[in-house]
Amino acid sequence: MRFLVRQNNRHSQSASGDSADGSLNTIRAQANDLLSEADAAIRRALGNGDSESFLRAGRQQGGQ
Amino acid sequence: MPRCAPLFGVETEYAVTGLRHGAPLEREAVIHGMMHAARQQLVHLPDFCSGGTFLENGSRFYIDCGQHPEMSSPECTDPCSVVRYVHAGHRIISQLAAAAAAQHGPGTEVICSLCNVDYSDTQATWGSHESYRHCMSPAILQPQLVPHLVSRIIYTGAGGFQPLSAGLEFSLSPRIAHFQCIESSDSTCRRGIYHTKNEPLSRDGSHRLHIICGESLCSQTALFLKVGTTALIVAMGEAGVNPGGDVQLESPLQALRMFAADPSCKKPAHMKNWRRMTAIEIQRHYLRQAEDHLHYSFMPSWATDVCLLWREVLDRLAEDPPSTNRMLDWSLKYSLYADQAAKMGIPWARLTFWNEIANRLAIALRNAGVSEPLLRLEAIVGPNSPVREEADRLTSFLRSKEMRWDDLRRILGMRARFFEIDTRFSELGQKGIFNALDAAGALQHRLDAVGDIEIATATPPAMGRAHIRGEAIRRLSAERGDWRCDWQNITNFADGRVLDLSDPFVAEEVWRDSSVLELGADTSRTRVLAYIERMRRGLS
Repeated sequence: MRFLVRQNNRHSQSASGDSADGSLNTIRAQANDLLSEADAAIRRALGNGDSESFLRAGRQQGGQ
Repeated sequence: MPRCAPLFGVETEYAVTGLRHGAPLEREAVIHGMMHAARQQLVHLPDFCSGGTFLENGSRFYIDCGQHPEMSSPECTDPCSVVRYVHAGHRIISQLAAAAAAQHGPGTEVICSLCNVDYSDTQATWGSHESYRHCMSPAILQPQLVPHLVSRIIYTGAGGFQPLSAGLEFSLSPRIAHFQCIESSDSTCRRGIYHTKNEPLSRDGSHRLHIICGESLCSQTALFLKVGTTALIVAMGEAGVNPGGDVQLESPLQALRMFAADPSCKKPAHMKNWRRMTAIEIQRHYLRQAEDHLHYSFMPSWATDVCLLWREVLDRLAEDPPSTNRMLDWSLKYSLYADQAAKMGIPWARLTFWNEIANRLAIALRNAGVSEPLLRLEAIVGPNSPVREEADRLTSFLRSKEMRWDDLRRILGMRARFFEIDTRFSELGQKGIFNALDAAGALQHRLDAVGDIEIATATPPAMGRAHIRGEAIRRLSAERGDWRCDWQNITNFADGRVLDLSDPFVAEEVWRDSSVLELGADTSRTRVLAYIERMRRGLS
């Protein structure tokens, strides 16, 4: 496919040409990586703040 | 049937929160700061009447009703350009937010996000509206599009939580909670799946389909598909193909809600022809129609690319929905939130059960006229409960299932944290969760053909009136004059000259002199405005 380029993807090259077991391992590794990166990103984004206060501070009228 | 060259655009409404050392800032001050920064830092011309601006990349930045910043992309001729300019808009907004924060001194942060819904009980929502040029009767278009708009959420959904639920209900498309009917002309109260507004913003006889039921997305893949697939269905409808003919839903609103609540993408909806179809099956029907007509002249040159990606995503969703969790917003959120729930000891697999209990309690409280927050579960289900009868009934029911209120207490206790995560997911800038994952190389959503987003922050699209507008803004912003810009013209009130942009595909600057108009207007300003109005109506 011309359009879908897996930029920034650590595992995409190693996945090609893998055996079935290798592919499965790659997919598992990707899933684990994603969740551990996400966990770190969530901690960085939220810090130790109070979520209730954050939501109150964001109260607004909204749009369309 | 007349056929229109495709042209699209996307309006993005941003939620904004200003914090100084953790305390909220006045929204008006934050918004004012962003607009001030735009006037100082961006090459622009002022718009006609909203106090907003048109920028050198052909887009429009302004403050919309509800006091939020909004960016309208320039008119684009292919879906990749839409993705490029929407993301360019995010970068500009991010830069303005940083400038507004700097105005308030150290310790200030201005958070802009694409969070679509507000979780603080205001029932507020921020839209992402799409515009598609077409040359058919809007009434013909409605039945072609509604099944698509209902079922496309399996790849266009932003993901998040049902904002009107008392519990913690994951939704593929949380914004749909604010849609109450199939068709409507309203965009702030009684919203409809199909929006009947038809404001062409051109005088070439074409119409502008305005879709308001979509959501702002972080994923380039999801945004590309949202615009690309919808544009192909509009093109087929315009050519008389009748792409939605065999997939009419019995109850579009009910189907929309059911699809949004089903991350497995396997639940079928009732169709008017007595069949039942899943969202994937409805989408496959549209995809087949598009693939069957790829060689027809009414299909745009990029149709093959849209169909290839469309097929890949539908195949993945059919085989294994989690396999899309690095390319689609909702799917990524679903994986992340399930993982976070497990870490917090929340029984994610039993959320549906507990949400039903929470909603029953909330209804009982509402019926009793009690505004007690559900968070105070002890008081609600305790011996002095204001809804004693319902609380006792539910307690007995839980006992019969060998379950306890503890699970719901834990869920409600973490509800605000999940809502903050969802709001921070799409936060612009490096701190945003999606952006952080993208920077870490954990995602698979980018499209090579989107091109250089940074260049698009200051360069208009290569074709159409957006190109002429952007180039003119860059030049005129440095010249003397009383300039005002609109989608259909740029006007100099100082000398009465008007640049006519009412043809969406105008290829060169054509200036008109409004003084030729004899209207008996007593000032040059009213004469110019009268001239522009006549020009819009095709009279000059």
